[in-house]
Amino acid sequence: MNAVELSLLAHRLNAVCDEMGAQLRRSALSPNIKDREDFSCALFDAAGELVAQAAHIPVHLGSMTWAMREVAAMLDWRPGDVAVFNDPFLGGTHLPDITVVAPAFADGRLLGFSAARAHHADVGGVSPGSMGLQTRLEDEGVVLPPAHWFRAGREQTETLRPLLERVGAPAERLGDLAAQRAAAATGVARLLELQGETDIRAGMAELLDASEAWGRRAVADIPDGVWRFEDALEDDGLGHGPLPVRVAIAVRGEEAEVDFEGSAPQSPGPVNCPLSVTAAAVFYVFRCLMPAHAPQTSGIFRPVRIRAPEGSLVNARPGAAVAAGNVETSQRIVDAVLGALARAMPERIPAAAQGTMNNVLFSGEAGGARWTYYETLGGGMGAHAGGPGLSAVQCHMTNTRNTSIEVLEMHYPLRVRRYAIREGSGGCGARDGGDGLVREWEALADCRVSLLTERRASRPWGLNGGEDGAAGRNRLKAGAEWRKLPAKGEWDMRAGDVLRVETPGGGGHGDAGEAA
Amino acid sequence: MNAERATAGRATERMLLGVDTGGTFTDFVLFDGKRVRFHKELSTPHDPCEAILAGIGRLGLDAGALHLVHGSTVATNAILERKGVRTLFVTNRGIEDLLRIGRQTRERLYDLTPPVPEPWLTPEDCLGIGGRVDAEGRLIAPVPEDDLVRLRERAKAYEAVAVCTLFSFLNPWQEQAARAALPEGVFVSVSHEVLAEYREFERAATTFLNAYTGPLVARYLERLDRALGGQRGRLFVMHSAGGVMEAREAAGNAARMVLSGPAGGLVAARAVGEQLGAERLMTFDMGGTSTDVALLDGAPRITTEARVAGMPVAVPMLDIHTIGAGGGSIAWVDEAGLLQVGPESAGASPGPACYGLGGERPTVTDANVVLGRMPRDIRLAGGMPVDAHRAEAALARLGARLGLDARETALGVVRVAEEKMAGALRAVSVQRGYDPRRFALVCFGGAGGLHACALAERLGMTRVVLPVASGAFSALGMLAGKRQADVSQTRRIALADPGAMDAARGVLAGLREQAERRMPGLALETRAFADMRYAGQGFHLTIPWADDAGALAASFAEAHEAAYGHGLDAPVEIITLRLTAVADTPCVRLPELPRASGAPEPAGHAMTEAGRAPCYRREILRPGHDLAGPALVLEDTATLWLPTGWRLEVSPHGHLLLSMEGLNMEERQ
Repeated sequence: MNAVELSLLAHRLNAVCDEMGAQLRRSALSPNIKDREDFSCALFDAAGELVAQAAHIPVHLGSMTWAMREVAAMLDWRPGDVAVFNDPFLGGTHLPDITVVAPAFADGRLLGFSAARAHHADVGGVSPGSMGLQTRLEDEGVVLPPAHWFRAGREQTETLRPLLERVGAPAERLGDLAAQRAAAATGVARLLELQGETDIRAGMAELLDASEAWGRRAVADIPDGVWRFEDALEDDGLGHGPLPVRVAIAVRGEEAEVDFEGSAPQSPGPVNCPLSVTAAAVFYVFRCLMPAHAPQTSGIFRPVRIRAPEGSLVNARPGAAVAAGNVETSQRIVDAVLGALARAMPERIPAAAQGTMNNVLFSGEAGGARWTYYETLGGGMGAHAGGPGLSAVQCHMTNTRNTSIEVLEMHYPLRVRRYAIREGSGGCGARDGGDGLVREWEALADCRVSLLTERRASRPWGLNGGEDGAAGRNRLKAGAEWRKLPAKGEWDMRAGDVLRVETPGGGGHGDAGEAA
Repeated sequence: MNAERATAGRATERMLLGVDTGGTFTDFVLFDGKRVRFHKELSTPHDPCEAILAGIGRLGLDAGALHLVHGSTVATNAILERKGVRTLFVTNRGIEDLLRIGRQTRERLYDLTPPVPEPWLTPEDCLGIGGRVDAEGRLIAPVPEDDLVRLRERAKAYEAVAVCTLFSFLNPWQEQAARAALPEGVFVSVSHEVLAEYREFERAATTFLNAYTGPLVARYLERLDRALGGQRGRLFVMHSAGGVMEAREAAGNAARMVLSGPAGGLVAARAVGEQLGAERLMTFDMGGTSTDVALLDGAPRITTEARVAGMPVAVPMLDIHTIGAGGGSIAWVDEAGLLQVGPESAGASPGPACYGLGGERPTVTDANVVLGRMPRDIRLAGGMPVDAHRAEAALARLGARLGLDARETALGVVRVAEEKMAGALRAVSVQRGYDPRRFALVCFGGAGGLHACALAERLGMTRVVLPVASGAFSALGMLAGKRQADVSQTRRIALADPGAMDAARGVLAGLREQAERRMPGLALETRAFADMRYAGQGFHLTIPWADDAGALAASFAEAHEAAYGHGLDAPVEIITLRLTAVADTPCVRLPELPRASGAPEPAGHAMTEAGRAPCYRREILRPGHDLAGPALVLEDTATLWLPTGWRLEVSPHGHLLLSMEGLNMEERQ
């Protein structure tokens, strides 16, 4: 294909992903997918190499890049197949992210894959929302290793049975999964239409080769050398910590190796990362070094190699608890990689952002049915050489929307009393870090809350003399008493109790004295 | 009622004037009951009235005897340029930062150092008041008197106040208390009147923009109204949903004016479609820096999810999808050696290379020049000649980096640009469950005719229409719109409840009263709709109202299956009820043109990518003419490229009907 045809192919593949995403968002049932847009759609070639993706959530881009190679090779594919999986150690990230994938066949040969990944609010874990403080993967929810949900067009009801039997609202799960399957089917149909016009097998391979140029250029812009940084996760929720994340980035010309040697061993608590999540965090940072128009393919990441010791926090062994690896540890990995790059390119890298997703989960029973409600909260972004950090936004690995207070209160026995910018929480500097948020929920009925948060003791670091951002705070008011809650845990709330979460501010940049 | 009809009758005898204010030109369409005349004036952005009055003078009209329908950019520009009035935002205490937080998302996913967007409001511009309505609509805490006193004091420093409190669409008591406390003379928008629907951020943003622009709209329209003699029932404004409202209603509904001009194009397209017996249309309006597309399935699609300058405007609007690609989009080679087009645009200055104003980088327009689709002796808008050599040199330079010659590169640029346009057309059709092959493409605006046939082919569409007056199409639409009010009310109603239908009927009766208050004394035709969903879904489908729970449930299930390929065994609920009320309004009627005898005479020939092709002036094309591509049709501000394999016929009213060869007559209809 020439430069024109390749450009056309890239546009078309992206348009297909957009179409899949629009379809999934419209037809899914749960607010998590429809309103928070916690999903991604992607296309792959026959080898499972990512050729296009419409990602709303950065953690999905890198992990999808990683995932499909293994899955593509693992199953025997036939036309009309649909596979489903959430196994963090076989293509997944954490159990709530369930991926539905369908192969496209043209002329009897495998052409590629179409996949839709979405976050499900409940996958049958011991804790509400399947996001609690467990020590074993199997307690976090039902593990679905890659398997056929449809085989040559015929539904294999056994595949999802273990999941549907353990979740609180099987109809909602099935509705979301059906929407994912419909989106994947659309992707397959469009791939076949494209193949009908021109042979895209070779085109996809050329697109992957061509996109490597963006990766090479991004790495080439980093000065050669070995750039090191260490940050730490505060704890695993079960009393173990701090857990260092240590990184050494060796840059030589157009290639980089990101080595996590020296990071903490895997922990009993659910903060471990399968390698796919670590890769997603590293890839996110490198993607940020590329221009906005760089394509979302696996080709752009070819010049970046990742080494992570087996059995560590950032490359846990199968069976480890991982619920928070995806949502919390991934943020710390980003902090560590950015910290190292800041030493190489202080003018391009911002101070630390809030470094957590502030996962808040409520659950309870109403009218005999179990309800769960999950949200994540934004915070401050780090300031940088060009200006201050953004306030009250989702940072780095996530970008989910908030839930409307009115929607929340119409569905769940909760009342939002406060939702405000946490003024002054951004670190001072020549340019200030962005401010965090404050949110307060009053329980209108007895329920249970669980928190998976970070940067409650440590603070998002400032850069070049800028101050650290304020640490976050979790508080519970039972009766008239406010008490401090740790960063992670589960508690009962009685009707009338109030939970307050204050999210961290971003780090400042430059000495505050300079500003005057 | 009779008196009103008589007025309407007199209005048709009066001159109907459609005026659309654009960035460069103000377009006029005049209908005197028999004939249609067009006129253009240069716009006067400092005071759009000036151009309007100049045009009225130039057309020799009596300003006091007009029925004028206006497409105005006053509200839109105030938002885009941040030039609205100083506005105080009032909401519940504790969520004062509602508009500053938004949806807590960042615009750019992979930008480590995004610029901080200019805030709409400082913290001082946001005031919280006590009191609370719960999710059932119960007032669980009243507004403390002290808070109302403080509100009154604070509001004195502001020209406008926007009030949006939680669940006001269920119980407006808190907002009413706030309004009652405000001093005289301040402009007030309350959310339950602007948009009685759930989702506080979208409702608050819409209410804020309504207050922020309302006083400007009021002053502007008052000035225009005075100049027109100030009689009631003379001056109308097109709103974003494609209907027409009286100028006096507009100030309180300024947020409903952000698409006032572009809506005209869709209304005109619908009218043209009716004339041609074509109900399913996609519109394609390609300009220099951006392209608008939309879909009409009988009626135009409506959205409540539009954004202007990053702020949601959740009132019903025609669903117009805009992409930043047009004739001025610059072609370039990216880091991996792939050809890209846009988003950077050459704009009007320096403009495309062929303008000869110093632009060196090739644009889509330059590619069209190189391909011979714009004859070299053509003059561009403003009388500028085309410099084909500069266009060719620019494309050749770009081609050298791709290993292609100037012509091949030009073809590539056109194909990539058309892929973007096709993407936009897919976004409004395929992505929303419509099959583009069942639609005709209506093309207006300057640059569209060069790409319309290729786009149609790409989407499997076999018919293209270039309507008359395509250069002043929005202004034509102003005269095709009807008086219309769209009202809505969020009320969650489980369809299985025994009282469900009574509750819904009660809400609809209230909405009907509201519409009647907006258009007193007019005979209204109303259509009701219900936003429905499976219980727990965070999203809805809008279903035509049926006065029977079973029928409603069935049509919802059918629509869900059709749109998303699956249904659910779950209870169904209504979330919002909507009512559209339309009054009969005098409208433009395009006259038929005399039929031609014989073949049209080309004005010249051009060397195109498909060889030597005749060029025709559009003015000489008459019903009865029948052309085969390749050919060019030239207008003052637009060019049509009819490729090989396409035929052109002229409808009795002068619309150019393009169809792919090989279709039989039935398919062409």
